[in-house]
Amino acid sequence: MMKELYTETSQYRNWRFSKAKLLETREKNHTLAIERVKKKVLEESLLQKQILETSSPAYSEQTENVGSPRVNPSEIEYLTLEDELALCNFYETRIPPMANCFPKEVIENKLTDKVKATAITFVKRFYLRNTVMDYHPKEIIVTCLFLAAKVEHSFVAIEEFTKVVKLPKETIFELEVVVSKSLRYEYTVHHPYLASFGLFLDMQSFIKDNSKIKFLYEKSLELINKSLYTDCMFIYQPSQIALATLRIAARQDNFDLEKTYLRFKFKSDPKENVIELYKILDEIESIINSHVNTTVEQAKSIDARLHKCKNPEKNPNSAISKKRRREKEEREEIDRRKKKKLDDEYQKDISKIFD
Amino acid sequence: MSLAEEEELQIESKYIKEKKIGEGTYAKVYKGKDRETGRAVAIKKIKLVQTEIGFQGIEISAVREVKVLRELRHPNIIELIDIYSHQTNLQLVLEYLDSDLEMIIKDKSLVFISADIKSWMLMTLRGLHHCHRNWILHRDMKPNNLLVGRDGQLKIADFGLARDFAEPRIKNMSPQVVTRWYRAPELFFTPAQYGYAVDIWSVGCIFAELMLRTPYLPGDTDLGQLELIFQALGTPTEEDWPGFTELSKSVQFQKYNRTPLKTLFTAAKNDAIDLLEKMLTFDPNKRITARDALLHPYFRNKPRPTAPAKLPKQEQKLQNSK
Repeated sequence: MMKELYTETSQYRNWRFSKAKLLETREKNHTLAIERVKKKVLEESLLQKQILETSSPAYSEQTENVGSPRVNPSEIEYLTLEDELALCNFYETRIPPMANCFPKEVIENKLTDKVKATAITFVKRFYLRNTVMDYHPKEIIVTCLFLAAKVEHSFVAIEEFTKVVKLPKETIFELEVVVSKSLRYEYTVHHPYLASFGLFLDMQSFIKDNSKIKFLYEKSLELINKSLYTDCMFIYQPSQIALATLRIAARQDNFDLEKTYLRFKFKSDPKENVIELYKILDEIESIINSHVNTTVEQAKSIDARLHKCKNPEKNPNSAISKKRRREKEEREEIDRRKKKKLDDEYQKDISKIFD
Repeated sequence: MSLAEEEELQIESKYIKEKKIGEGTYAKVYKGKDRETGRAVAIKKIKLVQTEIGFQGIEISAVREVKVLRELRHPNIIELIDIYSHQTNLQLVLEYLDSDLEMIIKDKSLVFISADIKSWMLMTLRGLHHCHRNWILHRDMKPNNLLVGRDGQLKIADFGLARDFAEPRIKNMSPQVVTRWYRAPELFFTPAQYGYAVDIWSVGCIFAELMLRTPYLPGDTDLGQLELIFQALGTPTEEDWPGFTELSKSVQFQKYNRTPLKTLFTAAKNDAIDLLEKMLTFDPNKRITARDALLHPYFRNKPRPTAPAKLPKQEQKLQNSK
């Protein structure tokens, strides 16, 4: 029955992939993003050229050329998918330290492990459908932490939030909607913590040594936190990750979990199911053990390259953004005129009636 | 435009708003339709609320409602078909139902037989059981939030107060939930924690209201509500509700004796009275669960619940009556 319930969740329906499918999804998203951004970069460079050539004073005043580097568009080195993932990983690991900058009382009551885990999950889901060239992760992680607190019933007011994080509240509000859209408004996230707590209780009927149980449980929580930076959440179920981390914790402690607990727990399950489960546990174990987070130096180097290939459309000072704004104003002006003309005609018609 | 943005523009263009049909504190509701299929929908436009703590981005109630409805799929729970947004303005596309249990109860031209009441109770409890087994508390069960379609299907709606309660230690639970007349007694004593039992109490009040055709416990203040509950069901003793003496030490309540429910619900059969009693049990730990209520003999005994399509319903209103 529990398994059946989990299959109804949005996490199971829409955010679960095979390893191959996950890679394919990311590759497709990345390729489309590069194509789109390339076009914008080209358009920006053409616009800037035009502006330079028409040296009208009105134009030169406007064009401060912020953030759009003066390079030949064909020479720009775009980020690879690996670059994007590494950069995201770096910023994901910044979420817990960021949360720990809040006042003690907020950390304890609001920005709990669960909220941080939800924030990290939101970031990871967000970049399955977006690119760092459009939205920089340093802003997305702040937004996701704010939204995660709201979602997990641990709401922290924006005023309190912006005292700690250096991002204007208008930006957070704007990105909150962008993030929500990308998550398809599927705010519910299931983490391994609850399953892990269940195992903690369950072990007590099999293992006599309570301090050992507590030790293993706490170790497994640390490992769950580590697993958040891997792709485990996209591939495996929370309960599988919980059990795998418990097994790693036992192994690191030279404690025989198989003999003391697991073999009793799965005694009545069909053998082939247990073999299948152990295969999954081994996979999770190897993913967690082999995972290495991006270093500051690596992140800096990617960030420097990212600076040259950002989507100019997202920079409010770029020529392309200015052009878009002008076009929008023109459209609105035309609409206004049309409406005024209709209104005038209507008034004329009405006044005729009373002539 | 990114994938997500494109997807959302497509969603938005699928629907057309026709007229406003309601307005609450946090949303305006429009009737609309799916351009392609013609299916009637309700579009709930979440307002930008300036609370006392200032603008806080996407409305918290909207986040709660969306969070819950995105997970729940059940014939007795309202379907959230789509969502889109303008800036920070969320728009929820929900299935459209033109009646609710409050309207039906109030419509004195309709006659209920006990099989009808059993049918509405069955659908309500099925929907609620689905919420509870997904670890979701509704926290605002009342006839007005039980929508009824032309086909007679009843659907639980309005999850703006809903929350999940799976964690072993939940904090920050507000007792200021549930419309007063349907609020469980434990909620008046500001407990830090409560559970699914608050929804069951509300369903008990709705059950009583279906039989009486008038609200069962219509208190006009919080204290008055408790008085009314105790008058109707007797002031609980420490035995009825362990911990009650401790909870109520700041207020002295008059000691009312319990009058058997049978004296008020004269037409009800014993199985109905028994289920009602189990739902209106003071001790939240002893109050019946949604699952056990569904397994109660009341639903197996005769009469069989009326088929939804044959339930009493209001006359179809003329197109331009509203």
